[in-house]
Amino acid sequence: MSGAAPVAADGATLVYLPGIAGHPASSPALDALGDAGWHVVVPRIPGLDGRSGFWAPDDYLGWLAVVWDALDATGALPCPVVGASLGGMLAADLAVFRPEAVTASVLLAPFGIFDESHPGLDLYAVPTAERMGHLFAKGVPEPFVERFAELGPEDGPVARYLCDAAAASLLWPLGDRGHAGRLHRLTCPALALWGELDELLPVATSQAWADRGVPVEVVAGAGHLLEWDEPDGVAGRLVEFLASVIR
Amino acid sequence: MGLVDQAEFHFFHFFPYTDLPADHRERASLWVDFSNANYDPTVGHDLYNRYLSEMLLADKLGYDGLVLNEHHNTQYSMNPAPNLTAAALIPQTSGWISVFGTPPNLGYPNRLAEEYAMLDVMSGGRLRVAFPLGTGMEYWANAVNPATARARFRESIDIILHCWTDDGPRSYEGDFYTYRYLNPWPRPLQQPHPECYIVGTGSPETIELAAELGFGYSVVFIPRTVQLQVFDRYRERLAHHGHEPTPEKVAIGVMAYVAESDARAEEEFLPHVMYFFENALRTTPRYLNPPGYVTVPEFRKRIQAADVHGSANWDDLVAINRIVAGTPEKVADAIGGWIEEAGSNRLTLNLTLGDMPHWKVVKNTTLFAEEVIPRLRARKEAAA
Repeated sequence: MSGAAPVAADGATLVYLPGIAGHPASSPALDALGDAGWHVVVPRIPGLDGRSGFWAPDDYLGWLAVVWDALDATGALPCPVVGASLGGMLAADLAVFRPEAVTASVLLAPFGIFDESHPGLDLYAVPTAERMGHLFAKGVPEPFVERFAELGPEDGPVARYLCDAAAASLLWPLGDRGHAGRLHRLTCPALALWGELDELLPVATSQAWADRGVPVEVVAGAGHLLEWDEPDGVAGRLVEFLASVIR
Repeated sequence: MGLVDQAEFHFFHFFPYTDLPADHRERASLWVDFSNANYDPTVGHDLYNRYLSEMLLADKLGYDGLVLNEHHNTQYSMNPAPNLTAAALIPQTSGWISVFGTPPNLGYPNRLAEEYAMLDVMSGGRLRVAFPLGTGMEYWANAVNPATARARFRESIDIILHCWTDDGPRSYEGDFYTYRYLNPWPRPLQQPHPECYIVGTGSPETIELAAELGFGYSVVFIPRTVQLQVFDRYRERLAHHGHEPTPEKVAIGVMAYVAESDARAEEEFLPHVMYFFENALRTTPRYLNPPGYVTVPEFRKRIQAADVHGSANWDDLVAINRIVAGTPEKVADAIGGWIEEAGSNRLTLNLTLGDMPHWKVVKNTTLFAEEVIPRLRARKEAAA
């Protein structure tokens, strides 16, 4: 991890696509990007926000359309896109299928390729109450502990269920969406960061991405949602990388 | 005429695999990830032969029909492909064969339509089918995303009905399945198609679907009193959709054991009922409810409901289910009451459960046929 000083981005926009547990609050990493001059846009991904009235599209192509509609609604594209976990999977495909929309792609432990030699933890086979603990290496951050708590004891669990269902509909059963066969089409500057202690996608699985041309760097001491476990390190590397590729 | 006059008695067999390792009680679930290394095919061979013989005995004793169902990745059932079992039974039986049933969304619906049509033609029109969504556990075992299970379920049934009732070829453009030439051979012997049921747990969606299609309805694993509310709602919706809510539209399940005395019946039945609820059914909430499998109203219901999968108490079980053990008179009284209470004349009988040995199955099945059914039939004659 580089200790280089952040480079001011002068208000340039980047998009952040959140991970498997949604986006309960801005992370310290995103705040640090803001401090470095980036304007961070987080689109509302239907389903991951736990709101009722949304049900999973029939297939992955339907999901991509939903996500692209949400992205286009922000007006932020083209710009760098940072995606975490399942957001990384979606970000990679955005860069593959809409190269004109992505100027740089940063993937934080992305799903999309299943490595049967390193299957990792099946999160949905873990009791609901224990799932959050497996996403982080340094304890569950408060926003995730309190995720949807504001909705109360009756509606909170429903929102968590809907968020989980939306995420699972993208990832079930293995989190493999065929990226191995199309990553060669990812032509923008790209970087993958991987938590050393990722339980869902063991760090050895990152090799499949490296083999297909996406440089991978391992973040020590971090779990699956590494931007929460190591906010300073992740943000610092993001700022440095983006500064090096965005002219 | 009362409901008992028209009652049909169908013998249901789960085909359980009961030769489990001693440490199986330490496992939270005997479904989904309970290793098939624990399955001994030589034991399985003997069990298949035994269970088939028990079904044939039921047919010979005059039960109106035989009932099979389907589960995957579990010791609970050795019937992941019940149509194969049905095909084995057809040439040796004369009653109804009910496949209750295969979740139509776990495979290709045209294929299931073909298989059911084959069975109906082969049996001379003795097939009845039910369409279950399947337990949550089936979605861990099959390559279907639980989040789309219900939409896929509905579309699958639509395709099967088109297969059975349309002159092909025709095209079908669905959200999950598309066909350029939907033209399955054979078509069912019964016209327009075999009698169909939806099997559910009382969710509003399955009730509405059954009512809309004019299918029968059967519920499993919810308390008897709740079932009665579900049946009332189903009949109301059935009438709303223009279908007559006749008694055969509702099928009820009964677990019964008959012996010389109430005490002996309970003594002989209880261990197997407990085995069934404590072991055969034992699984975890996470396997029961994969993400996206249930709708929001159903999710709200489930997080408030007691878990019946893997915990059991005899008194509670008897209080909330249709479970009876006793003399023929006691069993007939209980069943007669349940028939009237539910407004149903279709009984699915669990006369063998869990690890019940063969001799008890033979005893119970025979006593029920010879002592209970005639008592119920005699009531209609007495009433007349």
